[in-house]
Amino acid sequence: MRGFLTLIFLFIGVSVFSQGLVKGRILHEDSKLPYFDVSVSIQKAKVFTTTDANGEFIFNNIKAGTYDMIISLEGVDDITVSIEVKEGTTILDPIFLKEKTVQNTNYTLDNSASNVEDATSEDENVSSAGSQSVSSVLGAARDPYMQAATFGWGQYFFRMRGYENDNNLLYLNGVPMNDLEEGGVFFNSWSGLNDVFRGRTVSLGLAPIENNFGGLGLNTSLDASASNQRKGIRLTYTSTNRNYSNRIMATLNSGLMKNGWAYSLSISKRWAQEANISGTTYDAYGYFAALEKRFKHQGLSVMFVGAPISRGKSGPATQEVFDLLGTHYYNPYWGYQDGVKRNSRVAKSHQPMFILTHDAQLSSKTNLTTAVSYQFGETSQSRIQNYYSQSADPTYYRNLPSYQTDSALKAEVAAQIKADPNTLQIPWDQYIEGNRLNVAQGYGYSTFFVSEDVEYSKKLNVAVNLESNIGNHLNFYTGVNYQNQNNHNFGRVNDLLGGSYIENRNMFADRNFPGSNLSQFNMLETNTKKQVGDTYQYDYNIHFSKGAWFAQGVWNYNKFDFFLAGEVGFTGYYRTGNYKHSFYQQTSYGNSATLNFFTYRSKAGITYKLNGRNYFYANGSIGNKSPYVDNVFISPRTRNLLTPNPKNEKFQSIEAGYLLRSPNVKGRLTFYATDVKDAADVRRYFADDSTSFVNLAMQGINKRYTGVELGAEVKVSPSINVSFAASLGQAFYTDRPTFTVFSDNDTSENSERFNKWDTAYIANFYVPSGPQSTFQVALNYRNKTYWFFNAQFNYLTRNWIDFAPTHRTREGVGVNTLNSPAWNAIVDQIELPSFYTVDVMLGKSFKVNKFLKFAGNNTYFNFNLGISNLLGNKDIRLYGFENMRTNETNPQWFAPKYAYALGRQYFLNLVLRF
Amino acid sequence: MRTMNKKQLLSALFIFASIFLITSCVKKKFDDPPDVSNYDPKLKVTNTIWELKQKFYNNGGGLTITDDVVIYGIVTADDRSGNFYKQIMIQDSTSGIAVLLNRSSGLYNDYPIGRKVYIKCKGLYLGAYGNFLQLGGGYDAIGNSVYEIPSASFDKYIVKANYPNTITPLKVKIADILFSSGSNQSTQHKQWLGRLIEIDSTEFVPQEVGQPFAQDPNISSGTDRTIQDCSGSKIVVRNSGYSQFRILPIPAGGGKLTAIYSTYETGTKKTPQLLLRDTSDVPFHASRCGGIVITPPVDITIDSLRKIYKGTDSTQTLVLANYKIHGIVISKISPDSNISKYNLMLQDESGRGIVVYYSNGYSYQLGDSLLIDVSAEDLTVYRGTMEVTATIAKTSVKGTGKTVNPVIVTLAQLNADLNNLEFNKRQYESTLVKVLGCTISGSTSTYSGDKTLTDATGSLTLFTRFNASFANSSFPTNAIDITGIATKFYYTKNEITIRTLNDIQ
Repeated sequence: MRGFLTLIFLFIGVSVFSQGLVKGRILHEDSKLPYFDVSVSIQKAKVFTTTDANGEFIFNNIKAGTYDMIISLEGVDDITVSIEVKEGTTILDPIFLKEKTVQNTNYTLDNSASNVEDATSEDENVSSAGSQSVSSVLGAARDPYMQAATFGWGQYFFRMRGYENDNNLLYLNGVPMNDLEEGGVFFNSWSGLNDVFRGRTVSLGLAPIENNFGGLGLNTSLDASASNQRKGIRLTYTSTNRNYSNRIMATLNSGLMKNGWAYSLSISKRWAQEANISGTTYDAYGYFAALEKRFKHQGLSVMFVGAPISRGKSGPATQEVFDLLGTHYYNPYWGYQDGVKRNSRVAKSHQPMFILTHDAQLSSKTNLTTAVSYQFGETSQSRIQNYYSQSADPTYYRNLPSYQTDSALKAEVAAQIKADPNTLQIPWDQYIEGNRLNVAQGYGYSTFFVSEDVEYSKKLNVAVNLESNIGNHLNFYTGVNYQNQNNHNFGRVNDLLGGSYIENRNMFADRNFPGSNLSQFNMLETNTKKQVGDTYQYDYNIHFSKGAWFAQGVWNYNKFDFFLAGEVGFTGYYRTGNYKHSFYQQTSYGNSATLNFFTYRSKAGITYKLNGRNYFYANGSIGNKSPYVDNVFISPRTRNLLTPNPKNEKFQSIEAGYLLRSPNVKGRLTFYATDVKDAADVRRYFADDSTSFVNLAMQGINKRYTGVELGAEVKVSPSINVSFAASLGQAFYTDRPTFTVFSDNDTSENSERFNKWDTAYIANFYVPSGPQSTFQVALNYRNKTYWFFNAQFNYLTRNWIDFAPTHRTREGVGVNTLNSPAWNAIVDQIELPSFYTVDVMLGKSFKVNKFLKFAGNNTYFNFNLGISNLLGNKDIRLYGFENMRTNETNPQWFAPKYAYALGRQYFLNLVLRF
Repeated sequence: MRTMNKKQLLSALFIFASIFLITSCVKKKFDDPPDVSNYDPKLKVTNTIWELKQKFYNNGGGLTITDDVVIYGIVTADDRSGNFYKQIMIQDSTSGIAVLLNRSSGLYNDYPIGRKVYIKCKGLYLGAYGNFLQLGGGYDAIGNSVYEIPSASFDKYIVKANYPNTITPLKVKIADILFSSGSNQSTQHKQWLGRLIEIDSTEFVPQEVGQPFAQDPNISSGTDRTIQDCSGSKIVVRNSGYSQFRILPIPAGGGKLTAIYSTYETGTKKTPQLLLRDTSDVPFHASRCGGIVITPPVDITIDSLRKIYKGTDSTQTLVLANYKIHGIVISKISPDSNISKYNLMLQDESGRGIVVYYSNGYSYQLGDSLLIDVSAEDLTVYRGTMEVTATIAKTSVKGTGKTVNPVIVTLAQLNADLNNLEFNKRQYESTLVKVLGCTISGSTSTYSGDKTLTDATGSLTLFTRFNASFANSSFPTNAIDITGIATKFYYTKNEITIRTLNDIQ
């Protein structure tokens, strides 16, 4: 939103008879760096603007004379500066904002960062219901709506406008960070380094942004260049009971030195032996180094960042299990090994990245920026697998009371589990003993073992952007970017659990085609016995390339602003199979055909400025988007098979709104509507009836996202303001897509099965996109002794779980009568209960030499404490999804799975800065 | 703070370094648990298995054990090969019994053959299935069967002890273990049931040699095979359709058999039977009784099979020797049904095809790869086309979704070939062919019945059964490429039949 505001407010004038132009600049007092997005107004002239990224602001059409100019920053007393406007151009002296003002802003930022970080890492347990987008809004703390979305709703998987993550684009030092494989942003690449990733610009919706076309949702630009970091040393300790227990961070910034150099170093560690949910572990590091040299009209900077992270995850379960164990924080992923808790699902990542940036001022009105990045590294997730054994999932339906048909046995199983909850944890010791006995019997293979799904990624990005100010009214932007990515995906043996090797064979094939030669995952290898570290089960690469050119004009006039933007691009990718799968000998090994998609996007908008306080705007966009590789290749793990006729997804989007910026009331009301057509989706899940991964390919998915966003803030007194925010959305399917199911153990290599497409009757079902109606009321208090306090009340409702399209079919409803209870039980989409939360936050900043004489004059100590879900509600269902499998007589065997939000959580942050 | 002094720089460096020294906070490696497989907890055993089984007989039926009965046993059968499902067999020096455990596979991880276990029977149900005694978790009065012990309760009832222990099977003769029904089981039979036994000099009956141990589980969950000894006594070996060895051929030789002694009695069937743990229980490498040699079926190509039928006489019925054939189904039954439900066309790598006739029908699909034992089956010519009879029991599916590429022919070539009076000289009969650029014509506009197919070189009949799903579809009148199966009908008529409308392009 900020980019949008910036552009709206630039060059605003109310008088047609212009006489003077006022230019000014606002800088940090301490670092002398530009102060971005500060409100500047001249009440008497009825003009209002905000500073741009260079800290600059401009008023035109100001009559000559003396004025009081008011500078205001969130939560800080307004500063009034007296200025003298002459005819022609008046250039004001730089205005410095005081250090402590900056301090107070940072409290909020620190908290937001930690909130989001936690919400983000929890997300990774969920495939679709992510809310990583929210972490992008840190800088937008000023907008009450954004603030609510971040602090109040983000951790409950609220998604802005209901959009999927790939509609939220993120740029780091000008380089696009959205992954080409899935479209989302992998925040773990730099997580934990909050100190140096503060500088950001965000914009929600279709408003123009400066160095790219942008997505439909949230557009975020991060600036982590060395000269942009605040000078000094900053040490942080954090204690929390969320995903991790402790965090330490240390940052050393030189600031921009007189010789034109700047450097920045930051390092962090986050850890937990066991975090809030049982069996979860956390062990993460972060490192960052940046160097920059400023010349007279250009600058060169380099950045290197990486974050090795290892996390033991938690997973969802059916309500039966939660009820049985009497806790909503049961985690099926761990068990005791030799008396110590061991997690079977460990997610690891480490993808270091270099970014080289060059910016040049070609003329006083034209800037050229070039950025090149290279990122490489591995992400992996471990899981326990079984070979000729029953599923290793402790909550496998046959292990639970509901599986028993006899009431006495049901009761016995329930009693047994209650008496020993470890019955529903992974019996590592038992598995190891079983494998050892196998070895003793002369069968060396492991029947249970740990494997990892690994992705080794290499990404090269190049972006060149030109920005030019043409005449008095037009800002012109254009740029090209190119991305090249190679993902190597493979299974890897992690732990044999006491066995001698594992067979690189397909258990399903061995069972169903005994004696046949169909069971080898890779026919090119004669030795099927695999050791720790060997590739296993699948091995393939995906090669991507993507390029785009965009151009945008933004025109600013007295009463109206306009913009027009367009982009053309291409996306191409192909698969290289490194395994020759015995089921798919013709299609598994070697290169697939290359798929190429050409795309266009366009958008335009108008803002009507009634006066300096009231703005009306309307924007529209139309275009298309290439499908993701995982939605085109039906089963990339096994073969090159494609969905028939893959095509671009089309979208059209409009938004219209009203913006109020009066001294005591600020607010924004936006209506939006977006239609997406011809989307494709391939969902993959493990179907234990066929002991195989199954790929459900859906095509012709049409969706609509529409709703209203409201944010308002009222200044009650100089130290107190009250804000209100609401989001009322509807994200739903508008048609009946078709789908078909492919098993990874399907022996038919040909595409005859394409004839069997089925219709999913899901028109008007909700898109599972988190709570679709959300409300917040917040009270903010901040006083002159640098205390602040914030309390908020959130209400979240209308959240629907992810559903199985296969149940909403002719076959799915079976012989049930239309609208009978049995019919409805199969067809109806389940809504999660509504809930409310109360969150509080307080903090204070101290100048240390008031207490300790030896401390330097610039040594500060800050603390802040945030408590979310203050009432400790442990019954909040965070998300849910249906089981794709069904059993008509025993539906309880395959009940939906849920995960619950954490109860009361605290976050204590202590910062020493000198 | 304009410049950083040395002290501050040092302190910063120190702090940076110390972060990475705090590595003891999160543990890295997991310890290996101790190997307890040779540990025997030495529980106090209250009863032998035979004493336990007598409770069933004394009660005249199943009962829940309410006393603190503790038995021990050595595992004699597990589920590794899949021939035992959700159960293990245990025995002590007195008798043996089945223990039902609700885990669909991998019981052998915890209870491998040779492991000693203690069972705390209090709360378990002692019942029977077909008069074979079982220890389980409860009783299903409706299904008249014993429930398996739920997986959550395994450790409650079963205490694992040391591994390995050797088991010496009981040496018996077939005559010793036969009985005609449950009522005339001797006490000794009851005591022996559930135990591992060993019989010298046994062999499978000749007609089963070379057949798979068990039929496809879609046909039958289990298959009875018959073992005989040199005196001619016979006993059933019951093999599960879910066992991993079910597709393996039954050995032709003879030798010593090891098996679990079991019984299955239902309705009129009241027979003792043997259960194999794996094929290693029937290592029949020695010669059969009396030195008889049986040759297992030889896998021959369809070309070789056709060559067996010699000459032009269409009335021969040849009984085949021990042969099997393989190939891919090129015809398509329901729902397209342009072929009788008793016939299918099979083509193999020799490029020849043949009609396979199943007198009881079949359900194989287009593209299935079949292996068919045609030993002692008939090779005949039926209405001008060569066919071989077969049974589902002796047919196995080796794969699915296979494709056969049609051979491109002209109608003149096809007519010449099908007119050859020597049946085994016909190349294209019952194979998939493709004819390019031909037209269909006929008195009606739909496929049903005889139409004329014409290309530049000649013409023949395009035949569609009236009950084919597309029989009432209109055929195209423009030039088409057609894929279909070439057949001879009533000795004189040369025909092509299509499988689906996709064959017309």
